[in-house]
Amino acid sequence: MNRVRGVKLTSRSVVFALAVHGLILLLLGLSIDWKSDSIPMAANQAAPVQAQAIAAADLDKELKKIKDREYEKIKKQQDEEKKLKELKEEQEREKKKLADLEKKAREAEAQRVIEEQQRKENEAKQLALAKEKEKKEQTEAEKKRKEDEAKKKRLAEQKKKEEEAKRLAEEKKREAAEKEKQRLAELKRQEDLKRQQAERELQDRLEDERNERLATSTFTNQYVAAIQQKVSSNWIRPPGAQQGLTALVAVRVTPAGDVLSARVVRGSGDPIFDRSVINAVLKASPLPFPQDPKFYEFLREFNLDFRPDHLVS
Amino acid sequence: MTLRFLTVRFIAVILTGWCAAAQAEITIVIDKSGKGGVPIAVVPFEWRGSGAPPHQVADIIESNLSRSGRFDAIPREDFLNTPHERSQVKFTDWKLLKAEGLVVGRVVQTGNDFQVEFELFEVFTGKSMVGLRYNVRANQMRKIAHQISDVIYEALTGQPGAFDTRIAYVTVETNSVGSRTFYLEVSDSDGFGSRKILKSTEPIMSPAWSPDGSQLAYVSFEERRSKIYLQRLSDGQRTKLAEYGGLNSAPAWSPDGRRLAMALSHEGNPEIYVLDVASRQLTRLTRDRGIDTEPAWSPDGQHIVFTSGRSGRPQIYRMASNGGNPQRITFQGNYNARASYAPDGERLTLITNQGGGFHTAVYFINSRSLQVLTKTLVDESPTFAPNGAMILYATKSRGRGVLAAMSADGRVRQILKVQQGDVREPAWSPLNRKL
Repeated sequence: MNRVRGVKLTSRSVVFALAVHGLILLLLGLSIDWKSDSIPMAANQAAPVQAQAIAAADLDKELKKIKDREYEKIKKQQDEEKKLKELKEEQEREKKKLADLEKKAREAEAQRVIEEQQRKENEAKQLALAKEKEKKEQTEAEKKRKEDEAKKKRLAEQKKKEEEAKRLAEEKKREAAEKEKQRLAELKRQEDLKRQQAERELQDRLEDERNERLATSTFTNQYVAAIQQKVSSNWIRPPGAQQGLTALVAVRVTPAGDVLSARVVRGSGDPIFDRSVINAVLKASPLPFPQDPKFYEFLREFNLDFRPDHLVS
Repeated sequence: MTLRFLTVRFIAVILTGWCAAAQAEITIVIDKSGKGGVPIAVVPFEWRGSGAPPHQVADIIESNLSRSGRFDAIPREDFLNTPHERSQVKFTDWKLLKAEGLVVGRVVQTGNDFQVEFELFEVFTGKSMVGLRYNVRANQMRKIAHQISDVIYEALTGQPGAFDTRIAYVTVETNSVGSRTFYLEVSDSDGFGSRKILKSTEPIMSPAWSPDGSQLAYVSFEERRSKIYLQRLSDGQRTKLAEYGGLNSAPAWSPDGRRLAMALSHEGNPEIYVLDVASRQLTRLTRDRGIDTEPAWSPDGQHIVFTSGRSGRPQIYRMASNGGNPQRITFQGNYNARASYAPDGERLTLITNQGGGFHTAVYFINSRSLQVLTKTLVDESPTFAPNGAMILYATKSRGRGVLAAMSADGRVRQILKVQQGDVREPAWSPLNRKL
């Protein structure tokens, strides 16, 4: 900030200074209007010329005096002029100086304005940057905060979930254990029931079996032996067959004893022998069979194991 | 046909849950079998020709199969119908008769020739097992019938038949003044179609077939003492093979047909010798004070069995066919003689006397067991069929010598219908070559 002679130069003070200089210049111009061609002016206050009787010596002296005076006058005028000029120059210099000052002041002002502006801009910029930074920081902080929060929340939720799951599992376990316990209890109850029932049934059955055993043994003696005999009598064991051959035949029969199928399930390895046992079963059809359908259930499928004891008997 | 059923023994019945019988597992053991043969129906063949057919082919087949002991022919009067080809067969009818096999066929005359065709069915499956057609002349028809019998036999038993073979035997005719004529005869295996190949007023004995069936060796007394001859069947040409001093007897062919074992006594008592047919070189195999006779070769040619009296009573001994120390192999009974091998080499047929007469028996070499097959009093000269399934032997029927054939297990025995004379010393030929 430039300061000239401690005066704060404002536009107003500049105008005032200019006005002062102008007035001074006007007064000077009026007083030194000596170059004008003798125009009598009322305002010309110099002594009037007196001419008549002045001796020569006196004249000379006078002349000289006049001359001196003139000279003085001229000189004075010249000094005046010089002084004026100097003044004028001074004025000019002052003026220039003023102008310079003014210019400088203007420039300084401009500079100052620019600087001020720059400063302001800088300040604004700084402010903006700061603001931005702050904002960014704030955003990041916010973000971080949010993240942290989310993480926390997540962890919390997870933990909650885990705990829930654990709780559920435990509950389930507890329920299962409870159920199992109930089931076992029920099972035991049922088993007890069953056992009791089985015991009862066993008793009943033993009773029945006692009664039926006679029938059964009669049945096995009668019918199985009869089947055996009929198949045996129809079996022509090939005399040329190797000794020790055996064959197992699966037989299916109708309730009337007719052979539905006879199938070698374990052959002897000798096709002639195998054919002989199949023919034996087919020829023995119908097999001696009981009328009671209960016996049919018992004998609808059975095996015949052909194993001759000796070639020669 | 009488079937003897042994008491059926109840071995095991497994009952699992009488009440819950749905899947009861019952196994009934069958440890006995019927003693009959396989029931078979042989339907008389259709005849398409003029006059009567030269031979009843179905009769020959049925007779053969029955005689083998492996089959029981269903009586023809039981037949519900008489089909001659598959399209006419109602299997249910034959199931009712319990026939396992059914044979149908026909003979068609075509000029002087005949077309013979047959088919064998398995009744319970309705499956055709075999069917063949032959073109033959009248004099080949018996042979064809035997061949068909063999085909059927093999199809049903899995073993080769031996019907299309021949037998040789000796017949003796005694005229009104008591003089005897001896014949050597050859016939079909069923005794039919015989022809005499030698006639003599002196005894003929011990005919033996060469392994190729082309010639017979036998003993003839035609020169007043025993000599061994070879005779070719195709043209009757004869060769005198052995005429050593003393007894020349019991010729037996080696399986390769190059040698004959025989019993000779020119060096003292009868011993076993082997004669090389081509070189006539003689090798003595036995040296003993007892009588050694009736040699027979094992089928592999490694051994010779023979009858020896060295223990005091006739028993069967066995030695290596090139000699060596004979081992006695029969110990049951006080008389065992006339042994010969079955083709399997594991059995001998022989005559045994265990106090009740001379019976035909089978001796099992590995088990050393003797199975007596007949109850007749005076059997002689048993000989295995070349398939080992039958035995031919001579026996007495109403005081007359006859030939009998029986199954190798003795179940079925049949006297062959040899027309006249006293028949003895049968020998069964090897298997014939086919037509």
